[in-house]
Amino acid sequence: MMAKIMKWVNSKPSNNSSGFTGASYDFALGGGWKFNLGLVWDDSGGLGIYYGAGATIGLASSIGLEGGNISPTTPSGFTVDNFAGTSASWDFSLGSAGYSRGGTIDTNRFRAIERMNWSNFGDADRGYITNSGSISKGGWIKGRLGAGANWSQTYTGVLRIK
Amino acid sequence: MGRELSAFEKRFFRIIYLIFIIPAFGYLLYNLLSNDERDWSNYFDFKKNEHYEGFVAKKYVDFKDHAIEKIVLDNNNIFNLICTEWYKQFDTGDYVIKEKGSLIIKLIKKQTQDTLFFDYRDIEIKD
Repeated sequence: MMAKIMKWVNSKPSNNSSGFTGASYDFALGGGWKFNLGLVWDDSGGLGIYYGAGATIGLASSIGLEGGNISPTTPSGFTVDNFAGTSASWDFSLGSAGYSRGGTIDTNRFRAIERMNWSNFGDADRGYITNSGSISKGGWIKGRLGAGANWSQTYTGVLRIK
Repeated sequence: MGRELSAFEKRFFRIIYLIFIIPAFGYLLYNLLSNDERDWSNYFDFKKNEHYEGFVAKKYVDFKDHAIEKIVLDNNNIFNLICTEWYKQFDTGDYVIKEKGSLIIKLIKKQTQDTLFFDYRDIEIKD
């Protein structure tokens, strides 16, 4: 019988080229919906189809293409299976260009407004952060405003291809 | 070209800008300019509050929840593990102790009676 201390100190995740690309649709006038569909991949050659739906708060009215990188926040790194589950994001757009920052959100820990806090994204078991860009066509509201900003909480499913 | 906005619509959009768009972009700017170094203190506080003890009844990967590796104890308590390296060490019949206020999971192996310590503070990731 012996005691062992299991050490995984400061092991930086090895992933550096995990990402996703697909199509997205956002509509919110105060409250609204967000949908997306596309491909997600990881560093180990994994590939999957993702599909997401969720609620959004803010002002958004666009349909377009999105794509970005995924940075894991825990030592195990990222595989496409980690993409499935609840996540949150902030989306900002100016004209037809958009930027989004998101990640896993632990719904057991964070309540309401805490889930909107940018720095809580990825702060979870098997966490990751996404940074993405988008090109979209806006609707009437966005056409008049020229800008949009919305926070979303979505559930994403993943069908692993390889 | 769209139709000309009415005075009401112009006022409406001006208000939207003032109360939402400008603050939202301010929030974006603030976050982009601030130090992005991850602070695990909140996560550690949450893990400190967890308390469970019992025999491992089942281990599984929850593919509907970010493929998190989960351990089910014989008293139906379920807890998450942060990485695969930890998950690999848990087997059915092992005994687990996680005390409130501690960041350490103690695992007593059924086969060897060895005690393994998993410390959440070790997960801190630095460049």
